[in-house]
Amino acid sequence: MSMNEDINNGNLSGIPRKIIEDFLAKLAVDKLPSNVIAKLKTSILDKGDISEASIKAALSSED
Amino acid sequence: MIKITKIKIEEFRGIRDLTIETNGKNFVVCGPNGTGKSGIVDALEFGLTGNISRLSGAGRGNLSVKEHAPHVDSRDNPSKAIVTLSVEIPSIKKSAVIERSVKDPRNPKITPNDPEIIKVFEEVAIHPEFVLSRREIINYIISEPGKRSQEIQALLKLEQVEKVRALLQRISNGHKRDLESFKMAYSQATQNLGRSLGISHVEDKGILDSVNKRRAILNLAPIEALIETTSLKDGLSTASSNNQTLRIPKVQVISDIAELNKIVDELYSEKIKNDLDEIIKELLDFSSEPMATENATKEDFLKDALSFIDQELCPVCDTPWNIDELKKIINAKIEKFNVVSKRRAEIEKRILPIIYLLQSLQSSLSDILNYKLLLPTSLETQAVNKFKLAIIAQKSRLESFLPILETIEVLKELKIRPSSLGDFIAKVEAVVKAIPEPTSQDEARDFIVLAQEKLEAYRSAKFNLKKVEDLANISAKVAEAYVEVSNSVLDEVYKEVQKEFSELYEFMNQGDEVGFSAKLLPSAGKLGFDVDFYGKGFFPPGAYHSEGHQDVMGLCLYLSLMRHILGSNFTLAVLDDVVMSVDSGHRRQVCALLSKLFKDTQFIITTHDKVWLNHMKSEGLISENSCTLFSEWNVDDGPTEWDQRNVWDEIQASLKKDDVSSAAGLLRRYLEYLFGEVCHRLRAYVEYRGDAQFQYGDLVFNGAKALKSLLKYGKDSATSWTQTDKVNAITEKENVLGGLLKKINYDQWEMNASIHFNEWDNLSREDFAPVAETFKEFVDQFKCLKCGSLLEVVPNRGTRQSLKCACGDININLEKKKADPV
Repeated sequence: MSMNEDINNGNLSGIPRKIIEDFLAKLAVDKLPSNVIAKLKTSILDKGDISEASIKAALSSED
Repeated sequence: MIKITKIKIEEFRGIRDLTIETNGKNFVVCGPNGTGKSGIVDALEFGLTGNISRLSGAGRGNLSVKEHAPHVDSRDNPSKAIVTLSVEIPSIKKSAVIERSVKDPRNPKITPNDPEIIKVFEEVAIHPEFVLSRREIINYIISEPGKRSQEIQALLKLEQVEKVRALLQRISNGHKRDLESFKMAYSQATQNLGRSLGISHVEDKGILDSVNKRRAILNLAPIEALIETTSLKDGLSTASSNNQTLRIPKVQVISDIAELNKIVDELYSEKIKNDLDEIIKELLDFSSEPMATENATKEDFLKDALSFIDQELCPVCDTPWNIDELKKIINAKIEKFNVVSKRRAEIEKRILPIIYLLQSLQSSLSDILNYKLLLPTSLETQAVNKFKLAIIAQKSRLESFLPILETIEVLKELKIRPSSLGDFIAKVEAVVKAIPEPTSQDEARDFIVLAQEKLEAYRSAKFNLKKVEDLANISAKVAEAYVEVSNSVLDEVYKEVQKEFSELYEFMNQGDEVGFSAKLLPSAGKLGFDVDFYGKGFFPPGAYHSEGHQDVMGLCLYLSLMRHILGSNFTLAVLDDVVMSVDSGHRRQVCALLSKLFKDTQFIITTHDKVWLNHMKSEGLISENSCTLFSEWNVDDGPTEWDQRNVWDEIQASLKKDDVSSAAGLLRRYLEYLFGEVCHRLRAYVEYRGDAQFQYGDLVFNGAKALKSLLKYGKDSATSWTQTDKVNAITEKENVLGGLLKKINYDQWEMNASIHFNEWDNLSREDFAPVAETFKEFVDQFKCLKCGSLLEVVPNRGTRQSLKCACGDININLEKKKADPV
């Protein structure tokens, strides 16, 4: 699948899906808090929201 | 995605009304400069995206699609400017029509109203890169690495990747900055706790030893362990219930005053004065750089601006903007800030110890002022309160850094030790010293109360610092992970593209640059591009390769990027005069490249070069009828295609108006065009001209000579095969042709081909009309009257085998029967 098909396959952030998925996987390997990873996933991948406010909120959501 | 089957253009750019049938196949628009080719490119881009690149974006001044896309005569009526494209969509096996008006470019009419089709058009609309002009080629190949990176990232739709990287870095940097002030507060709280307990190093044992010593004086049980909820005052209220009067904790106040004096002495020391002088000098120098001082104030604004550019309109004034172009401009400006930012960071680092001292001074003063209610009312604190507020303001100003001149003013103020502060400290000291010494029990009680207060402040500062440290740590890890992952993914992308590019370029230069390879070198927002030069090393494309080679590189890089981006959806590309610097040998390779390696892509190509058009035909990139030739353009009618029916009708119309000059001129130009094609197809011998400026007389003369000769060969062949009917048919054609040649004085052309035609201007209408009629009959001899195509020798190289038309109705064998062996 080409990069553009990735982009247009339900991923609204405009960032290639592979980058987002590898990024979230690396955060898990780096042992970042699971709820931070979950909120980043919801924000970037599910909602396509890459605003400063949403990213900051996700980063501050440690248990 | 899509392939174009028909283009209909009305009142758009330089075109009044034009319809072109492309039938989903490769198609060429050929014509001299200024004949309206670009109007077709603009129409395709507008029809599919609602935008025209050459009328929007950076450097376009006051040009706009709304005002300048309509034909100049319809500029006040944009609803008349309409582009209608009929398309086929291979991926879903459907056909559709999209009609877009300049009046309402964002709302095209799509027929049928099928969600699947609408989705495809929406996808096409975000890919204006299906149009490639030489301007883009230059941007890909010979531009600076930063600009190339932007161009290629824009093509790959990777701006968002960079935007998120910058955002995560900014958030991480912000958290790191926050961390500094929390560290400062924690350090201050630790010092205060240690001072209140009389210990130099804050740790559990020292705290408990110090507190338990006082608790013993008050007959309180010792505290065995210090945990988060431990209160040093545990049991204190009961033990001292007989003494509730508020008193000044004399020993503590004296200790606080000593600390305050220490901080004041350090802040106003000679060493700090010297530091301040140096920092002021650096700041003055920094502020004297016009770009640094002017733009430094805009840096944050520009970074914020990027996050707002996600709609097609300015959020402030609703003016439409080109998102890609605007981002490029802002990113280029931000890039200029890098040097300035580094220098600024170095100066800020030097200012940080001053900010620490101001923070300590503020905290220490607050401690003293907290005793205010316990001090005599005669002690004036107004001036020192004012001083404390000034310190807070100075600290805030230094943290802000900008504006630089105000920061310099604060640093200058800090060089002068305020006399009011010294007076105040002396007065407090005098008052406190005059207080009678407390009893050992009072002293122990005061000690424990204050220690608990400082312990709570310490715990709070520690908790806050931990929280901010964790956040900064998470932010940094997230930013690092993103950079690592995105770089890794992009590296893979670039590797794939450079491999594909190298293969395409090697294909283009078969036998010349064998084993050619290229390197795309990404680094910090830039993208270097080095290419192999005959095994002598890697160099930028502009270093040793010719302009033609660079154009080929641009085309190959574009094709490899498009294939990567769209994969099997790369079904349409519009190449706008992109091989103008490429020699004929490489042009043939371009044809082979496009037709062999991009079989599923429809190329719509514009060119001013008829030789290149013939290359495309002879190499099979386009079929004979997959092109349109513009002969001329005028503002009232737009481009004119060479179409026989129009030509003869136009000649008759001119003659009706007694305008022999126009009729003669048109006939000359048409014959020049048509017999260029005839000579090409009949493989006629024409004196070669490097500038391709062939005389129309030469073309007509040699075209006719070739047909005569071919008919003779055909008759000889038919005779050898004893095909009497064919011999008779060819003989009849020879007779007709011969009669027409006599009528148009063919024999005289050998003497001087141009004189004959120049004389037409001097003829009367009555004399010229039969000339035109004769030429119409003459031209018909070179065509099939059934299918309308020009006759053509097959094959187009090597031994001539037959003379045919497109439908096969005319098919004259040119090869004689071989003699039977004896």
